[in-house]
Amino acid sequence: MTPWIKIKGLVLGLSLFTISFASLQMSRAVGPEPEWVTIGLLLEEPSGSVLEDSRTYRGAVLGVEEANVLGGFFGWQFTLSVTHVNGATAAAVAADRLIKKEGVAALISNLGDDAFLAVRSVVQESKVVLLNCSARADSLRINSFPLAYHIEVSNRDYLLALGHFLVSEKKHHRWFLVRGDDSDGEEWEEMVRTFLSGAGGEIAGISALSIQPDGEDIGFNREELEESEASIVVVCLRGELRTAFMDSFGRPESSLPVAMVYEANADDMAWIGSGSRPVYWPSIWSHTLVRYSGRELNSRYRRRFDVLMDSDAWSNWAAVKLVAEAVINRRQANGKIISDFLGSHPPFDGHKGAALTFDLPRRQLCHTLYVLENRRLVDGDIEDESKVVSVFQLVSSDSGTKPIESR
Amino acid sequence: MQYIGRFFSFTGLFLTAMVSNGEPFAYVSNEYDDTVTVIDTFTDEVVATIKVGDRPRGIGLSPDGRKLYIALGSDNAIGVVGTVTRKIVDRLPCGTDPETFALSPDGSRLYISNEDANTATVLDTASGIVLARIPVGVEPEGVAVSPDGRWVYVTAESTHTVSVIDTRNDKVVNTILVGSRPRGATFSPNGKRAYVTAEIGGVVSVIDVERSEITGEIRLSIEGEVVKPMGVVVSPDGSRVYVSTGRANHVAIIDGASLEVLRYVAVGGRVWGLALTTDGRKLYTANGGSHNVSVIDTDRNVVIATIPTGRGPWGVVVDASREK
Repeated sequence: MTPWIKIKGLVLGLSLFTISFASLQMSRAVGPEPEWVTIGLLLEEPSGSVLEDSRTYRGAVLGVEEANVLGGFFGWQFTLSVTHVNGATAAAVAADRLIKKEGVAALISNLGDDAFLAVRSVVQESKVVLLNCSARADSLRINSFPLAYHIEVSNRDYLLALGHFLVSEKKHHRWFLVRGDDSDGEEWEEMVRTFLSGAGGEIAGISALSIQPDGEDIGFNREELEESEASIVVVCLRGELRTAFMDSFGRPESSLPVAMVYEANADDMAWIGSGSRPVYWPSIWSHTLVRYSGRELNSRYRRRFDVLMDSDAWSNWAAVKLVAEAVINRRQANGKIISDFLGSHPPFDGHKGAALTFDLPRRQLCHTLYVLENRRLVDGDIEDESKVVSVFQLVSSDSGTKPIESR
Repeated sequence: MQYIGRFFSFTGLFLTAMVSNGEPFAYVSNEYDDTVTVIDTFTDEVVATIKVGDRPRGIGLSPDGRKLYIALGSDNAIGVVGTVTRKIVDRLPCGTDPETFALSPDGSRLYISNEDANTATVLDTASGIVLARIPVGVEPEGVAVSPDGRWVYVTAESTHTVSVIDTRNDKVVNTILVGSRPRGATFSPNGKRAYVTAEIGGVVSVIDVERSEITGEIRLSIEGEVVKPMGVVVSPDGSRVYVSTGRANHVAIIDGASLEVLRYVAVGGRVWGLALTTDGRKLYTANGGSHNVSVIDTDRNVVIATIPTGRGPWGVVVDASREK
């Protein structure tokens, strides 16, 4: 073989090797494209608010980011499509658009009861999974809509958790009930009566309030409260009416502790004054949770957003995680497949120390509720010193609801 | 005469061995009071308590038994304790929030789970240099190295995965979906199987190492208890798999061949970490809720001692470098 032939052979061999090597590297670098899954997020907030400040949005974002870590291993990626709605009709229209135009695999609703009902009707037609993170009416928790699941718990369940703590642990048997002078308020009164009759307590007095036309008098009669000899005031109000009541109740200061059936916030603490009078309320999450990797989840959320994780954020994080795990386990983003997975009682880990599953007759995620307590400690300053004082496990309807421990 | 001579020779050798090697020690990390408890495994008594750093959890020994490594979660370091002096001799940087780790068989590499960073860190134990940071799942915890040193498994609690790392290039070559909230992982002595516990799922996944896939699942169940599998160890002959059950307060004993649960042994509160003596005859369980360690005789499967420790015992390791 002449040297020239040898050289040509060497060059040819090297060329072939180089091309092959380069092709191999390219095929590794490109890789298969992931399959994208869109999750629709419905928010009931003014459209002028900053989305990134939304507690529900933040929770969903963390859920998506973590879902994409998991999904990345198996060829899936998730994204959110966010829509603000105002009212039931708008909600239905938005849901329809998200399903038909954007092809969402699931919808997460942070809407009130009426808007949720409207969305649910749309979902039933379209076979997309719907997860409720906000609506609390007990009447929504029925088995007639197999594609709808509830992560938020009902008013009745919140009352059970709070009521058990107040009566059994704190021995508050005589309640002064403050409710709205409307159908919601009547519903709350009925639930409270039912609960107390079974728990060995009683309603010592009732104040049914409404915002008057002059905007000043809400109809609260302090003398009625004092004459009732109640040991606690239970407030079944929210929004503007609650703020007005707390302002009225706090001036002059009352010596009674307060329990709220809806989550308390910093504004609610403004009335307390310099004493150490507690305010109690039930919740599905607390930024103070440490056990069962609660510390880790709270820490991840705080590092990501520089704010504390709350129940709205937790429920939306959980909703996204449920959808993602369904898709990855079943390898399909079809609504019916997702629904079948959720209904198969997979042991969902919500950082609450137990496998969370859905109670199918109510379509309700059975998870842990917490009773939180906050005492304002310093004159003039509102401090978030909320802490978990009781833990209440929501179990399936056959077994009833019961507390599992208290702290 | 020659038999007498041989008798004294053997006796002398035996006594020399006893004096020079001593009895193995068990080391227990106490998460809540930042200490390590040292237990003489012959007497099952505490012989020392060592102050280490903040939030000790994962614990392990160098192959020669001279160095005790402890993951100090809040210090973001691996503490190194000299087992003779029983003092901290070094702190190795290892990324944030180390929870557990595993040593390569030759002791030259530490593979560490960084719980808040979704990574596993590879550390050179001689130089303390970080060799690699490997992305794994969310909230990594358990780490195990195969007996041949080829594979490292890292569990991720929130993504319910095991990342399979090839130590030849420190890259993830496979990710396996396991039970809900996986925590501990370990390999069988022959390296053919791996076992991964799932705390919320209540199961132990059995993985075929060569095929890198799940080939079985063992469900643990105790009537009236919520079983939360956490720690897992395998007997030296592979015939038994021991799994701690957390707040179910028992250790499950599983037949390594049939994968059937043979029995449950009641131990202390919130049992997590497990460690066997080299001969497999005693199992030490770290009971974080009752602040003690249970010692199980594995021949009779009964608790033969309960040893008080510091608060919140998390992990336990027994010195395998010393022979009785």
